[in-house]
Amino acid sequence: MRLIHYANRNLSVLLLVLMGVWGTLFYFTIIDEVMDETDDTLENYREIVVGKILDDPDILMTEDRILHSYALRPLSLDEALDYKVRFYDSEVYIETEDEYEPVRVMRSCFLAPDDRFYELTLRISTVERDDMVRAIFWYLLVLYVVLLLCVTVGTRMVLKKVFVPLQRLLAWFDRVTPGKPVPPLDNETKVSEFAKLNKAAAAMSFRSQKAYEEQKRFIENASHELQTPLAIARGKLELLAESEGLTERHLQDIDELYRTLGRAVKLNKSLLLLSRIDNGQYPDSKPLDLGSIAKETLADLLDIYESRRIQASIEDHAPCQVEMNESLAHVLLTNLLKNAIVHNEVGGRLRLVLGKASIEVANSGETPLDAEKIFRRFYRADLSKKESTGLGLAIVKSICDLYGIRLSYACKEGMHRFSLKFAKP
Amino acid sequence: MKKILAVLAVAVASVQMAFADHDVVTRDESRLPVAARETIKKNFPDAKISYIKIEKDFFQSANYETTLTNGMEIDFNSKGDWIEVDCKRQAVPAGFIPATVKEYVETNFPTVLIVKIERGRKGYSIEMNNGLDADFDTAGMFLRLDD
Repeated sequence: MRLIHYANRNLSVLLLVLMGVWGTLFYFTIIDEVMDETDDTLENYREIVVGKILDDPDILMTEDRILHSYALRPLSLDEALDYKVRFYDSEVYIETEDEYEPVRVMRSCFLAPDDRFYELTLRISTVERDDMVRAIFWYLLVLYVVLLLCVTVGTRMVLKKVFVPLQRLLAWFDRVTPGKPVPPLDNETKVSEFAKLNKAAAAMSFRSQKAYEEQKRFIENASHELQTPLAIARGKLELLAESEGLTERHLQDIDELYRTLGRAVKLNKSLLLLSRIDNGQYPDSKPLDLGSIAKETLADLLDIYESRRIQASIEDHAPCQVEMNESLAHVLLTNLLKNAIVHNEVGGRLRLVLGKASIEVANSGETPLDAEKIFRRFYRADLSKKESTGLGLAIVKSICDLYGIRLSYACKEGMHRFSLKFAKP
Repeated sequence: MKKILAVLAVAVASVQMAFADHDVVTRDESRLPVAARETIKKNFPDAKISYIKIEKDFFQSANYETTLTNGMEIDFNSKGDWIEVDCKRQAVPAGFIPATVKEYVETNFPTVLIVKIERGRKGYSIEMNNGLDADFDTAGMFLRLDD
């Protein structure tokens, strides 16, 4: 849920409740007042009628029969003694209209000049009052809905405007990628919190960018600096092996040492290659037919690893034309194919499938590998293989990342399948 | 939430109490203050009360509008002091009229009757049957004449 929707929803619910309560209260207060007004009118009316009667007792004998708005009835003394004024709603049949009309009735009692108590019944039509009450109700309802809509839309607009710097900052975050220069953050804001956030985000990105660069440089420098001592150590070992008076045992140790150093040199070379790929030190690229490179490489590798008796098959569907650096293309395919030979069973199968924009290398193998880890640096599924550096597939991954090639691994039908999917030009 | 609702309910109830108080109309003389009953007995010995209207305001101090069967109206405050006597077309009993007022009317309008007298914080105000009104201060001294 977006922040703006969340805030807007909460505000709207609060307003809905508050305004609802307020509107209801207001409605009932108004209605109460309107009702009271009718009763006040009746009281005034009564005063006038009684005043007239006291002034001219002859009226007692008559009755307003036309409008039926008042009626007089003599009361016995007992009735009069505990008489209470009453107001109530009722209906009156109107002959001219042939329908019942709602009325408010007031009954009261007074002592007439002839020393008798009379009950005075007054009626007043409430049709107009009821109309007004209905009108008030609808007006209030419409007002409520319109006000609520306005406030909701209004707050939404205000919130949207308020959070513009935040949106811009988030968009900027999306553009920040490790290893690439930090894009400029153009996010002017008067709000101090957002300004602080901007500053912190920019500072943090520059710091991590710097750390990343330094780390890369360190690996490169370390690999570079290690090359010479390793070469010297290997040279010295070669010299030592040729010196006289060495026993068989010494020679064995020297051989072991020499091979270990060889592995260190390989590791070092791979690391250097990796950091060079990551640093983009292979800028020149040209269109290459990866299919033929793959076939050549495979033939060479099969010669080298003849002892593994790999049964290779090639499915050539279409020429695979890709634009990339030539040496990286060689490294990529060599690593993949070598991986498929070295980590294959002795006498296992190897299948190379060449498509228009895809290459798949498959080799025999039953147990699925951990797809998450195999492309990590120094991850080795089989620790018993001493020649393996654990960097081969990491290099493959780095090259793929550099050119936007989709690299995937799957284990199906007893084959480990590594497939490359090239972006269509 | 419950607390808020309770507060609202109390607020509504108190507003209702303040507004919903109807005026009481009764014929029961005993509801008049004693002083008011005595004033009526003294000044209108033959009159009977037709009805009494008791108006209560916010502060629950009452106002008694007493109408006699001959149509005359006497208003009392909550203490039972009269504040208005309206005798329609007849003369207000002399007991209600201060001497200076009486003197003023006799001097200036010898044939005219005082039909209504009001007593307030600012003084007296009378209405005469020639349609003129006159105002007096609390001491009964003449202030102005209106028509």
